[in-house]
Amino acid sequence: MAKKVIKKKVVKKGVKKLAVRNNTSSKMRTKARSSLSKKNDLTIHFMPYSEIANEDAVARVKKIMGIVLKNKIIILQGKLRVEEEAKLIENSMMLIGNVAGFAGIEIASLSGENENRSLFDSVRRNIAKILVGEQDAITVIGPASVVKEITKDPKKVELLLARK
Amino acid sequence: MIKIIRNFAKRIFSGVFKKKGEIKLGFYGSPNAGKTSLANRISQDWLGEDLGTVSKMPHETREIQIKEKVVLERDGKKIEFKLIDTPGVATRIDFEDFMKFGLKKKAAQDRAKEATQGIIESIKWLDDMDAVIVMIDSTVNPYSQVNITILGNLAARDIPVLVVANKIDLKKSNIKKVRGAFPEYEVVGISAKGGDNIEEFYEELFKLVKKV
Repeated sequence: MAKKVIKKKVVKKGVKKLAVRNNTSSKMRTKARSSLSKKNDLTIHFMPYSEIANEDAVARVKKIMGIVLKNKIIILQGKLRVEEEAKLIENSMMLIGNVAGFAGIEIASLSGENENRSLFDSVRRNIAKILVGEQDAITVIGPASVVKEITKDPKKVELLLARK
Repeated sequence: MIKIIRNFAKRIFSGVFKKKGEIKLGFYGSPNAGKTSLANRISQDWLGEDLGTVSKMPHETREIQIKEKVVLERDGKKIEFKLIDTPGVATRIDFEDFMKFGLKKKAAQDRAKEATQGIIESIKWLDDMDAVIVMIDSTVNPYSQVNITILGNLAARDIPVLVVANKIDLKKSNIKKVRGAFPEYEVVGISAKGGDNIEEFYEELFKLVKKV
């Protein structure tokens, strides 16, 4: 009889333990699921040109890298200057191997250039470009771990996302 | 902007005091575009020796390779070049890509690290070139940001450029697409490996030198 009681207690204890364990693992699973879903979520950050218009090259690159390192894809209104693009590549290279999982970036710009533009329009556009930067364009920048490939032709940009 | 003005001034001053005929000729482009193959061909044609090693695995050139005193002659005119072969520029490097070529994880990681350093070096060397050959693999889409960024940076530095569409001996080659992508540049199609059209390349190279 006494043995039976003990057994029952043990069983009860075991059940409780199991229940606790179940509770813990379900909590862990929920946590993992949420982080996994976070990891699988695709976030696109739309950045108006005004957000970087008054920044210098270093600050622009820093801002962009900050967003890319959060695994977000940036769609930037406008275009970076060529020296900023080079700086962005340099910066990415410095981070590869130092930031876990970071393998660089994918970047493509689509310019609003039009071959049929008149001479006057071209001059006006170039002056505007010097004064306020090239806003008549769109730039897509994403982490290489999320964006597998960006293919571009003169009129479109296509993003091929990496499968998780 | 200040850097560009400084480089421009440096170019003018170095142009005044530069030893006549000594041209620093850089080879730029994406990995596996054929930069080393062309540099080797020039070096073989005029010196009888290679400049660097070539491989199907991307990022074989991970350090700047230099061959000095390469004298080219055409129509009685001699020009001395310093050939500067640069590591291929890329925006992404994943060590796992090297493992597909049979490298072990550690070796692949080391190669990736060296490749990133090489790209940083390539970008830094842009300032030191007198003229640049931008190699484009004519079998792939030329509208890559790497090509656009390299050409844009060279234009900003006022460095004369010759675009070379390589691998014209391959079926997938599309030189028209390369010309369409960069209409403002002189484009010459060659096969650095097979030597196709290499004479036209030398002719364009001599024309390029006149702009230095």
